[in-house]
Amino acid sequence: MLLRLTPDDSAPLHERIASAVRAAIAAGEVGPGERLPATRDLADQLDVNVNTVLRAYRDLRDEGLLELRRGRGATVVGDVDDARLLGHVDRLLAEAARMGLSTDHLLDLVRERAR
Amino acid sequence: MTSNTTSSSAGLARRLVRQGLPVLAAATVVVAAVAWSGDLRAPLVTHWAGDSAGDGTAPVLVFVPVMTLLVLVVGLLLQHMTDRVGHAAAARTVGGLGLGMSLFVAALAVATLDANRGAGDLAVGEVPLPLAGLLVALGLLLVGGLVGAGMTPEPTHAPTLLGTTPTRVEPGEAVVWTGTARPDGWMLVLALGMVLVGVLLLVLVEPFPGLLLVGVAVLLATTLRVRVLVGPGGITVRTGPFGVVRLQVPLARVTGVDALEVDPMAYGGWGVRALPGVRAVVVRAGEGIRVRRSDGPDLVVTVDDARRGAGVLLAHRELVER
Repeated sequence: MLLRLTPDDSAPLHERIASAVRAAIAAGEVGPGERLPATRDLADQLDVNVNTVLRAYRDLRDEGLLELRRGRGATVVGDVDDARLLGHVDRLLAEAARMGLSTDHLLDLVRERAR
Repeated sequence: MTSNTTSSSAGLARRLVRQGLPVLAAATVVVAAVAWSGDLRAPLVTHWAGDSAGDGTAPVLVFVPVMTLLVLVVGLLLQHMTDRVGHAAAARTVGGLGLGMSLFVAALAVATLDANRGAGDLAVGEVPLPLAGLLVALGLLLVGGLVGAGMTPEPTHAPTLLGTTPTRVEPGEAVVWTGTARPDGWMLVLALGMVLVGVLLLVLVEPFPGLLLVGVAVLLATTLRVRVLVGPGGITVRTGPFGVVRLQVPLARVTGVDALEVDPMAYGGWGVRALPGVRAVVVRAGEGIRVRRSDGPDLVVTVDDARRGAGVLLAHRELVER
């Protein structure tokens, strides 16, 4: 499995880690049932705090992409489609923020289109 | 032409020492047993307690064949293995062990036979420990070890390199690759068989050896998992129960990276291996990554998709060098 953390940007580290994992799932690099690296090992590789990686994993769990269990680490449960859709949503939110659009306004727009 | 003749006669001398000496040693054991067969104690005293009084015996027809076979197997098998070992230092260790142990066992056997000569009337406890023979055997172990190591040729059998998948890493970008290796099927069968026998022992015969066997099987099964992480921090290998075994080479210490075909026998078998010049985590035959480091032994680990993993590490390495 390959994780790419882009050098850019202003986004906080844990979000960059989460989107790298999301992208890996979306690309089919890693699938349901497979395990992600231990938080400590990934933190060592990226030279960040263990809690930063843990926070990224927790966010992904809340999105339904990962399952976290004590001693067993992080297992992927979401599939390619889940991750792709979430990736699109992320990009949409980022674009809206760049344009100075509020989230409420964006949601209105989405509802409008869905009708 | 001249150099060819020289090297082939040197090769012959080497073969005579490395393979001839173990055969000669084995023959010596047999000859001694036959020559002294008239006045050997029966059964032979073959073991001595701490206070140097004999405390164990074996029939001569068991002792001599077993010892002779041991001399031959240790001597010839280990010599045969040296060419499969990919590292010169490790090959010399194996070659030295082969010759040294072979001579050591032969000397012990002859000394044991000698101690039993004319001892037909003595009780087991009265047969004295052949101390001089033991010292000679230890001397042969040392000399044989050194000569065997010195006579071991540079291994010609280089592992097959697989090439690496070129990977692009932008400055400031962090690319992390992770891979695992599935063990050979027969190891799982072995672990399963051990659990089965262990449970049968536990229930039907004796609980303790049964539990021990199950415990070892579980340990074996967990050690079969290996996980490799490659990235801007270098390479991390985790294996063992709950991943307690952790081997790491920081990127700054990495001097070379290859994907290669791993032959378990070249590293002395399956498992976590420490040989001179190389640390290896081998759970199966097949592709793996080899990392050369500036401040210590190479690291070899079996892992699926090794070309890509090696490519990622190489890309980070080149980024640092630039």
